[in-house]
Amino acid sequence: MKERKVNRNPNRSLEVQAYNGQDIPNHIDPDPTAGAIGLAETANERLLRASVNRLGPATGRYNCHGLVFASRRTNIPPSSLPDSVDINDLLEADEFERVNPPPQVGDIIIYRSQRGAVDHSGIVSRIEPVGQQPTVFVWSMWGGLGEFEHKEDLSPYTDCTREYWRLKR
Amino acid sequence: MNLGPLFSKEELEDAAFYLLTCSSAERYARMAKDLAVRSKLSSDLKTNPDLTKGALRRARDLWKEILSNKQRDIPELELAVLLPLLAQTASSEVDDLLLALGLVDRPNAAWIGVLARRLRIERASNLDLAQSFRMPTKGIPNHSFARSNYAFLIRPTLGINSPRTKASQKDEAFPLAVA
Repeated sequence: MKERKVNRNPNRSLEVQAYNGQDIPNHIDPDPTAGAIGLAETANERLLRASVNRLGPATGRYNCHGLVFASRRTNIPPSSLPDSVDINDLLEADEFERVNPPPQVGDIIIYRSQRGAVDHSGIVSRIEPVGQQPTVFVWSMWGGLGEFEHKEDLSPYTDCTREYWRLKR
Repeated sequence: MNLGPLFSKEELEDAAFYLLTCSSAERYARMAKDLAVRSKLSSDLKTNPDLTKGALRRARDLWKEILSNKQRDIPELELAVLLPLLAQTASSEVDDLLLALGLVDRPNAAWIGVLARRLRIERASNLDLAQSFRMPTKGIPNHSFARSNYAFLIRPTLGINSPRTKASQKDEAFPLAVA
């Protein structure tokens, strides 16, 4: 398979705004090296036993919030200014509201640490009924490691609680 | 003499996986600390404190490698796990190292810089606590018990702000600070 160059022009920021017009700090980072990615991939196979489906290559171009809120264009927030964006405020600025489970396809899923910080975000990609309990699949960008479709409870973020957000009607 | 990696291949694989999948500084710091605590080096340093000097030399070597690169690479991962272990020592050289790491503004060093700044603030908070407990309680004006407040160093600088952000950042910056 031909190697794609998804990040030809890193080391810059874009003008990105929330729905209410507020600027969203962001930055396009350089890609991690093949060596670093290779180590992570080996651990990925060992820890998650290939139960996830890779959808996109490793890149520093965008992170999970950049996939969800900026269409894969950039990292939100910039890694050098990690406290410059509060994802809770961004959800509010973009007029999302939290909804009770079960989620529906297209909802944003937020992974929250035990201290309440937003560790990760993704999009609910499909829901498969398994007996009486639906299995929720998530499409998300794992930091700089790549895009994956995975079960919501099968990812690097298993130490987090999960909640769902949907555009206000 | 340059030391080789201080962690096993499996430890570095885990570091790569858990650190490269981070999108927040808080998670990056938490993962780095967890990986550090679980490493073999952590127990080795406890049983043989003389290893600290070698670990510090290795940290400086890793930093030089990071500065000579433009991409995120394995030296960052090793250094990220090493820094929390060094931060637990009382060495003043660690303060100098954390300060230097926290000041560099390069895209491939951003995560290490953020981690170093957080560790340095935690060390300063712990030192304030230790010093305050040794202070005499009689005949000293109340303002002498004032805690150092580094909250002004971590605040939203651009874009979206909220009081909740400020509150949560303060908690994350001072896990041991007395309210």
